[in-house]
Amino acid sequence: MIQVRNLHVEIGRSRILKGIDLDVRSGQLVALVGANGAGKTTLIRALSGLLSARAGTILFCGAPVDAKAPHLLARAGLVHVPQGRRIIADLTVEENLLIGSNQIPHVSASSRKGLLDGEYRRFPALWERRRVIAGALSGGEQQMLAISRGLMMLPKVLMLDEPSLGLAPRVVETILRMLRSLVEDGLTVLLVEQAAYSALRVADHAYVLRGGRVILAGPSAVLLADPALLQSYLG
Amino acid sequence: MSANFAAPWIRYVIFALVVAVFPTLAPNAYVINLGQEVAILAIGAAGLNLLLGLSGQISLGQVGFFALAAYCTAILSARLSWPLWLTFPAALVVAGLAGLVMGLVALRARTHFLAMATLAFGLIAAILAQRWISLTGGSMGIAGVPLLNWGQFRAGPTNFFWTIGAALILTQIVSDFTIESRSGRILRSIKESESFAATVGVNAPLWRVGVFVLSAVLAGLSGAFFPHQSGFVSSDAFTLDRSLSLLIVVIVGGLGSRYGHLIGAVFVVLLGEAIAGLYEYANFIFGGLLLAVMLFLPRGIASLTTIVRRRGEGSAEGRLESRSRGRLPSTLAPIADWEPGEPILLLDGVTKRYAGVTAVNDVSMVVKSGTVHALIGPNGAGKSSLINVIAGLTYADRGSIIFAERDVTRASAYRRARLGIARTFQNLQLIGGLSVLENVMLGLPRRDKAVAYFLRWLGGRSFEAEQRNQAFALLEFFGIGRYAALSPDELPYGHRKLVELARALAQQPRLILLDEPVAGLNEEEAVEIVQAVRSLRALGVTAVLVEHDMGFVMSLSDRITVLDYGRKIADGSPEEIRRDQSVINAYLGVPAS
Repeated sequence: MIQVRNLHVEIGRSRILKGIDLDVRSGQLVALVGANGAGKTTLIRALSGLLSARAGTILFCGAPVDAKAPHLLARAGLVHVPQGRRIIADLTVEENLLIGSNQIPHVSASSRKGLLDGEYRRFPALWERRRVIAGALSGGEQQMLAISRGLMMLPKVLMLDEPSLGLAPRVVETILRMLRSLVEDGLTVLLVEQAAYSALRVADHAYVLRGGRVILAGPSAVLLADPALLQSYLG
Repeated sequence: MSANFAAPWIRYVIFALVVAVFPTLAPNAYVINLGQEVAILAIGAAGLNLLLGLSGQISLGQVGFFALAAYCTAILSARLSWPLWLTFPAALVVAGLAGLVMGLVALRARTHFLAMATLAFGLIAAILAQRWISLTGGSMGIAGVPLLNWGQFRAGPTNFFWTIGAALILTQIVSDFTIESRSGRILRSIKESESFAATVGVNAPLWRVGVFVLSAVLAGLSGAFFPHQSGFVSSDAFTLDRSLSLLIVVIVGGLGSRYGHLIGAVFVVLLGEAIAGLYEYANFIFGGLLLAVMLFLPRGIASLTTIVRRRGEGSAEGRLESRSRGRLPSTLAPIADWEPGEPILLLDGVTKRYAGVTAVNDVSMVVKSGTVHALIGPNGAGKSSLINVIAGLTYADRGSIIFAERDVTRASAYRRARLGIARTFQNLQLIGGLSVLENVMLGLPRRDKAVAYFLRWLGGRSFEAEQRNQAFALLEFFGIGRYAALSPDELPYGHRKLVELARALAQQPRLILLDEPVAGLNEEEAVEIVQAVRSLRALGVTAVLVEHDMGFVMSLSDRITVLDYGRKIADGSPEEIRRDQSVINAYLGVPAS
């Protein structure tokens, strides 16, 4: 569903991505791992059209992403759950969720209600706290809210940028297992993570980034056993 | 920083000659009166130019200082018959005190809040002038204010012009000195980033208040002349229009430039006369003018002239002595007074919380003198928070920080900088309005007595030659002397990082904090930084660095401290850290069991 070829991205004068090839196939959970500064966030921002490429192509469902504005890409089903969650702290949980679907043109009011009920079934904690200001949620709940908001947009591909950031290891495990079950239900997920072992355990396929290049790629089970993975982090 | 035309004092001699002959060349009293208007406007605008153009603080309340001084001298001279040589200083003191108060307000309120606060001050002054009739006479005003004519009625306008012309020259000297000397560099750096200014040892709040007082005194000086021009003063003169016209003058003239306020004042006065017949449209025309200048000529009319082109660095460069790369004159050597291997920085139980999040949790560490000590950890581990706590940009909630056997836990950032903690920034802090050389000069310690410094500036030529040579030597030490005259934005990214290092070294630091020194650099540039840090270590400087590039960290560091979730999880040599299971878990997650 996503195909990236020889992608180069610069921010200011510094070259962040230096020729990335990457494929996300339908129904897979693909992990993109690497130490900080490797270029993971830059890559995901380029995928969702927030950064433009200096060279190379990105195709989403066969169409180049730079032909569409980021908000139209999102409506078309390429949904980005940004790093740091970016929920609207002053709105309630339910209002945050509705932001997700309000902008999707082909969602009617009644199906929106259905979507909302579906999300509440998926995340009972959000149902209990639906009238609470989102800023009052714990970090883990906020991350769930951010993911749930993304799901309200009926994504074809859900891209998550470091959902584990600042969360306790146990909460991270819960979120990763939940992502796995979304994939079992047919969703396609691109997961950007620093915590490689955790991410690889739930992923089908993985790419390891370092210094703006893909240095390892393959089925996650193979990568998990590869000592080069550890080396890519700690030198 | 000597000007294009020789020494500053020559400029003022020429300026004085122009002032002296202007009334004799003027065909009639009307033109002399225009000259007076220009001078009144330019003096007030010079103050606003320093405030807004250099330090980046906005004021819409300059009319308040203007009115205070005007009423002060009018009332004291007309009602209490004080002589003008007493009422003028009194008026300046009153305006300065009001400036002090507003300057303190400005420490709390920034940007648009400051605009609102100063606007309120201006409004209050205007309303008091209008309504406190027993004191000000309201719109009926105070008549019978002595004219400033040195006792000669017929030559009055000329004498007034000469007097205010002298005041304008003094203002220009103060303004030029502020812009061209060390203080200009400091104020520009405060405008760019206060936290940066603090890390080169600048007491930023003091400077901000100081420049507010200066701008208020200049607004007051302009206001003090006002009632003595016509012998009458009423509240009609003190509407917000006056604040706004000062703003128009400095923006149209060119913010932060040396002659912008003069050019702007001439322009605004002449334009005002030219459209006097279109009174109803005046605001419309001035508004449109402001908009046009901001759109098409954002640096003002002054940027069109050659007068304010880059200040002579090009010519100065030839005079700078070139030294070979990698060698540093002994006068610039960092203070290496600590026995290598002795602890120079001790953190004990340091905790930092932000709004319920514990960013740094009970971290203790020892940094030994003469070592490169890396601070690593996954995203959000608390590295930046910890380095900010060490630099003093934020304070620890618990625990203590001992630097060079002093407890600096509560010392402010600029004090720590003066004790020998220098730093570089992840997102470079180089001052765009200054040349590369001047950026490095910001780091040099101040050695001169103020008066001698001022006189050397006035004399021109060798002004700051020594500092320039030193800054150049520091650039050469890192092999980038050829960039001295350029603006930092014109340099490749990697070399900008070296400029920051040169500036940090200029502070003759004991300890240098490096925040992601190779982030965003290519391999070649990163190698240059590695060499630079090694040469700093060879000079005896201790370095604490935060960096993500593990190759860089492992090859360069003597010791590594690892943070995760704000806690220290490991501490050791690069070899030990590579093998440490808790470090592996922190970075990669827990391996499958």
